[in-house]
Amino acid sequence: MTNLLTVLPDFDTQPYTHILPSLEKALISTADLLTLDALDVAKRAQVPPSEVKKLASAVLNGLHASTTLRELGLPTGNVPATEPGQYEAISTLDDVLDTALGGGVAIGKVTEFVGESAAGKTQFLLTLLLSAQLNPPHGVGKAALYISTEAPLQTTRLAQILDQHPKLAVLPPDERPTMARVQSAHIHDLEAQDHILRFQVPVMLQRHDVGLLVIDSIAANYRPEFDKGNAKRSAAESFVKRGNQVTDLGTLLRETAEKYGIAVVVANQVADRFAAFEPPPSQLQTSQQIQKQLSVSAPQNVPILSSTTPQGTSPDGAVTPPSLSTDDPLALDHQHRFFTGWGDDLQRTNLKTPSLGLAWTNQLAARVALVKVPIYEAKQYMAGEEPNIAGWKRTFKVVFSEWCPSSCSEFEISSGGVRSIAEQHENGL
Amino acid sequence: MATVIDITSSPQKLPPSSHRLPTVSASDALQELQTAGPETIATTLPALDTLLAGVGTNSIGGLGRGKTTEIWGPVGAGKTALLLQIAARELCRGSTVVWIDGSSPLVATRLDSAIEQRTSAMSGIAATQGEIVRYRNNLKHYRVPTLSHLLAMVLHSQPDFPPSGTTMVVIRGLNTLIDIDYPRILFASAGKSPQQKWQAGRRYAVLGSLIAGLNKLAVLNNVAIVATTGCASRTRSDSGLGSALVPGISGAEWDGGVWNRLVIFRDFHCRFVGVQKSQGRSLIGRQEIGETGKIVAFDVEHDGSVRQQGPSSSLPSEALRKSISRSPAKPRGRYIDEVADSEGEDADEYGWAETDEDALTADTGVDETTEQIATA
Repeated sequence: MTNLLTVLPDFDTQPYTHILPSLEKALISTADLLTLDALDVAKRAQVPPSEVKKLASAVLNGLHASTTLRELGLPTGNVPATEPGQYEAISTLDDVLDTALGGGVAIGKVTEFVGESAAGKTQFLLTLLLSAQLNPPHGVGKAALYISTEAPLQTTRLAQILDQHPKLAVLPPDERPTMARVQSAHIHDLEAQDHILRFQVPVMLQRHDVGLLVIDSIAANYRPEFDKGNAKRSAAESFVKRGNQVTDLGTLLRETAEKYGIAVVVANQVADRFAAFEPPPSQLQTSQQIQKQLSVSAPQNVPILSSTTPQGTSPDGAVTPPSLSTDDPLALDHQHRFFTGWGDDLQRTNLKTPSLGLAWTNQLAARVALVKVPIYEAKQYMAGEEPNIAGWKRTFKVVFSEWCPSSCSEFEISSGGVRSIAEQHENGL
Repeated sequence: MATVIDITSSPQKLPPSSHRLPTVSASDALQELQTAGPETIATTLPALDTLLAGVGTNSIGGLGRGKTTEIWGPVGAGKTALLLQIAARELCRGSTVVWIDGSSPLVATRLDSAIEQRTSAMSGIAATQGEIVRYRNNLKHYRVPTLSHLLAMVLHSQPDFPPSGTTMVVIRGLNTLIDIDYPRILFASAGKSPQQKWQAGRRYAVLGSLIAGLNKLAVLNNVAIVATTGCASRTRSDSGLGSALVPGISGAEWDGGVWNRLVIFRDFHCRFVGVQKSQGRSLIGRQEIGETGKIVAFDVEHDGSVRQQGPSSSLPSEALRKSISRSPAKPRGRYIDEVADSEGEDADEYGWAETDEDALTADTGVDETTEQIATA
């Protein structure tokens, strides 16, 4: 059948080779076999019903045998169990950011780092490539595999972080991570991506005892593939097809993470988000308002065509009941403020949306948004003059996660990698 | 449970291969009804319990045992957080909870936190490590990697499933399992073979079989089944509004078979649970995509505990709910009719097909912006 060996990899198909091709041709899947009467299946595929019954009960036995009661929290795969209360993770080598992540990037899950270009995604990924090699609790004492889709692995920068990161520089030589334990590969296009991730990566994971798989970035190979539709397919069909591809990719990465007991970390790009309506001039960042606190005005959402405009009221805590901020709370434009990483702060206007849409978001166990906001020079600007950018405020935002609560922390990029701003203050720097 | 009458002890000898027919006398059944535990499982949010209670009953509301509840909503909204609180409450009362993960296994530390919070909420004192472990062991955790595994578990369940003492069965990530085996196919495409057309309708047929099987399992074992179904997006071109979130699973048979449907979503200052269907009756219109139904506000604290926001009385304020104003002038063209084997033609997730066009042609917006900056 179409997916029998995906569902039950160890199933012995030998006794059924005479009916399986007919079932395949009739597009009968394993789930169909379990929900349809044997007679219906037999009629559709034109095979003897008794054979179908035998196959169905063999499949059922196989499924029951493979779904056994699990010890909660232990990942499948040969990873040692940690102390109770600790979740296995790969550290970011910064205490504040690790706390925000509940220990670090979790093993057995797919985590996404999303942000604009030069937001700091690669810095985090490179750091993780090194920290994975450390012994628990900071790492898993294994090698790392880096798959690039655009630029190749930045070995110079990796060497610099290894050399200058405060936590790595103090380690004795036998405990230090090495460049040799970072394997890298390159994927050129979407077809190669599926093949490499499905077949070649598992081989590499076992051959090199890999504990971390990094894909930088996941969206790159999708861009040229997304055509607006041609004579054969409409745009909507192309879009549905891409949604299914993205779902398959997510499933593959989740299965890989769980089966081999590794952390999968993925980098993703953003696109600008265009609001349905232009916000009123008071919300645009003119030079006067950059220094002043912007007042919170009603959020502009989906066009409301009636006269009752929504007024966002902040709740008084225990005094008045909290109310919805908009008439249309389930609108995608409103809801994606809370799962993209941009838009849940009413003061920001330069909104971004991670690539690959809602279908991809549904595949992730965690999303970390690296939000970059310019800090303008505080001086008198002439009319029409562009404000000077004095620096960047970078925020490490845990948007959602299966294992830790959401949070925001400020960080900066240095020669030694990334570090949180709060920690810097503690050290008196 | 039902008592089995041993037929072979009756004067008439039946062949040994005949199946025993479990029957129960009417008086026994009434006895059991009067002595059995509550018929609902409390949701830990009093206002929500009230919304889920039947009209004119004096029973406390909540998730009905013997019924299936669907909880949907976007990622990170709080579905698992709420479910953990409900499950922890059951565990701390000595019941068994079956937790089936379809997309990603539950993190053990979250369960332990929830148990800790529940025990201190119920008894006022912190739980010991031994107590936490004991309650945690009452949670039977299964990881089903494919839809077929779930179907085997639920439709062809083994005799010892669910274990005795189970009051609640949680199935997390059901939409993920369905989407892998039966991905959405845009229905209106020509040139399909008869097999392909049949295959396209299988998604809804399997969902129909699944909900029937779940309801049967729930009734036979007197458990409350709760399934989480993620979210998807659907355009609302007929009412002039943009895309909205919809449950990750849809279909006439599935929607009809579910007893309660809750939506959990976030807002700027807190989270909300909307009751879209309760007591088997839909509280929102079929065509009203984006309606939340009556809502209850709550929040998830940093430690994972869930607290209701707003009035502590169990009556949800009607003022919280404003109905969505729709454009009256636009004639309602085609309904997105949900026939059992079809779905809305415009399966355009995220509405990209439209917004991309808009973005490319909207150069007027950009001009206005630069003008305003220049003149400020």
